[in-house]
Amino acid sequence: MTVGTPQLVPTAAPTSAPQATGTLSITFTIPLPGGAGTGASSRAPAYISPNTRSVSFYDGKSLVYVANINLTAKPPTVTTVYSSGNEVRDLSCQMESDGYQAVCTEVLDATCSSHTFDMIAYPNAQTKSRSGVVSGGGIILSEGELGPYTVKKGDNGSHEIILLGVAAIAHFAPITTPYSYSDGTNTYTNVGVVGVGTYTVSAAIDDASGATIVLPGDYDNGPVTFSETDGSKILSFAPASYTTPPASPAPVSFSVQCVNPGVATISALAKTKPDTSYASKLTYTSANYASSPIGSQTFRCVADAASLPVTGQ
Amino acid sequence: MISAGLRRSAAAAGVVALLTGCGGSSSAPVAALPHGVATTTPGLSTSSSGRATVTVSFRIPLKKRASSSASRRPDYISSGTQAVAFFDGTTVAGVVNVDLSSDPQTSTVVYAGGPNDGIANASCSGADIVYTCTATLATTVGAHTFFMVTYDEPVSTSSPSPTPSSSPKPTAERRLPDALYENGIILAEGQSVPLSLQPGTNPGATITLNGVAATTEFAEFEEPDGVVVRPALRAPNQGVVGDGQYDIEMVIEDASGNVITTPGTFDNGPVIVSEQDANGILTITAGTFTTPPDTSVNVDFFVSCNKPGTATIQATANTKPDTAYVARLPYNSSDYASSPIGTTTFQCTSGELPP
Repeated sequence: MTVGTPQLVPTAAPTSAPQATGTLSITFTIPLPGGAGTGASSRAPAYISPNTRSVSFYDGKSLVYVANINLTAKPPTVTTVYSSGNEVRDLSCQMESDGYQAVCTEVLDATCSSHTFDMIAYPNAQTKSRSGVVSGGGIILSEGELGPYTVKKGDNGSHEIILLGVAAIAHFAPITTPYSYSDGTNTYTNVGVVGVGTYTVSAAIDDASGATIVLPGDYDNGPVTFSETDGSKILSFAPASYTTPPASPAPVSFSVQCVNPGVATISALAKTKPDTSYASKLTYTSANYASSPIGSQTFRCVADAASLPVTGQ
Repeated sequence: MISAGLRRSAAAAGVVALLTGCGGSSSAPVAALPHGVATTTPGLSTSSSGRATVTVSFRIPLKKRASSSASRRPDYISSGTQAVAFFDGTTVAGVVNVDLSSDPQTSTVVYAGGPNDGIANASCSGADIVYTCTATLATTVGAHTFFMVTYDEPVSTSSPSPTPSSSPKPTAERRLPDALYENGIILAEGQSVPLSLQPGTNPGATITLNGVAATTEFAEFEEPDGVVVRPALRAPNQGVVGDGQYDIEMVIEDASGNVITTPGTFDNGPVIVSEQDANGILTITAGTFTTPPDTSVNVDFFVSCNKPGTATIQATANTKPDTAYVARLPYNSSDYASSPIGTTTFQCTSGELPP
């Protein structure tokens, strides 16, 4: 099944006595876009991008519920795109009193057995065609899983799915150094000097909507690794690999040294599929994941050589 | 200090001229100097005491007129310079021998530096005694202070001592490292401000050189300060006890005999004029010089007679720099002139000067 274009598989007619079922609630909090609540504190303990526009729920491989969310409406509105029926209820989102975030609750039902539930957040709305094909959504913002969980008959209470942010964009900050380099014609600022000092590279690792991914989950498609991709070995730096996002929306950073003159390209690499084998077994395509590298930055290294005319008078 | 008397003398023709010596000696007693011929100016007057008064001016025909500070300002590169060494901190970055007297002037790089410190395009040049020495230094990025020193003799890459070629060159002879041999006296030296070099081409830096005071030449006294009653001046450097202050001019020169001027200070200053004999015959005022003159080649100081006798006046200077230069050269007596750098005498009498 392809994310964003999941095939709606009609439920087969029961051939035996109905199994006992139970319900469980999935509750998550979404910080409202542009609000003060977009900080990590309001996003914890799950990573929900403030730019979420739709969510999908799976029970194993089966798509059970899809809804579009309009977080800019006051109060936020929810439009159900698809529901598998049974006891699945429509998603409800209520704005919290602080006005900065909405608490959403989805009630799923399942047979009294072991289940694994997946949740996926998208930056775009989804649609369902007349043929029952649900599509849209765009590049996944985050996804996560609950389970295996043994559903008991009746109300199984409220649960939380920790969503893992999908690294889609690495926003590099300019690399600042105390050095500028003039070749007599052009002057380049913020250059590094071979064998002199260390220089800090920092980048915010964002989801596809530009929101910086934070804890508690790992990067869904991590680790995010930084490497020199020009092949010229201009830089030297310890392996910069990030499996876990920062606790607050801050860039990750690491130090590099210049070992050869030249212009280095530092790239942030991530997987184009989840690092986790989710129960949904979705088939991820380039429509669901950003291509790698997810960002790059150049950095000029120059030789440790200076010249100046000295005049004595 | 600019001599008012000198300015007057420059404006008036036919005034008394007293000549200084031109030998460039580090000790220039007045007896060795050619004496000027005193003449009176028109306009004699008579004081209330009945003594004749005359305005007497003295003029110092300076040696090496062409090297007057007026033409050299604001630079101080002595025309006697024959070698310039550039330092990057304590490291010799390059040495160039120059001949400023040839036409065209020549500059020969005798040492271009090492792998991390080197010079290129080094030369000294100038016209009409306005000289500058320049070089493009190549070094590493970061903090640097550059130092320059000029010598009155060329630098050699070989030992001046006739040692066998198989023998190591006597290190003691080296007054520059890196197998360079310098036997001259330092004329001037100075350093840049601390610089933080960026990679590649940097803006230029200027080093103001401080001249090393090596010799002085004294002129005879000019006149009592504020008292112009001189009934009969028959001998130079004579004064009367209680007769006021006498203005004495002198020039302070480097080892090549060129007068030191601003913009730098005296490298080994201050130059201090004092009574060498310690007999208390004179009181000397305004006799400490830290900064060379800028618009005149002369400085002047004042003496007054306390008691009869012949005093020896000396000009002293340090035998090492007054500044802790970054090059940390091992200065010795061969680099600097010995002190005192000049002397003269002054006779004080108790009464009327002899006719």
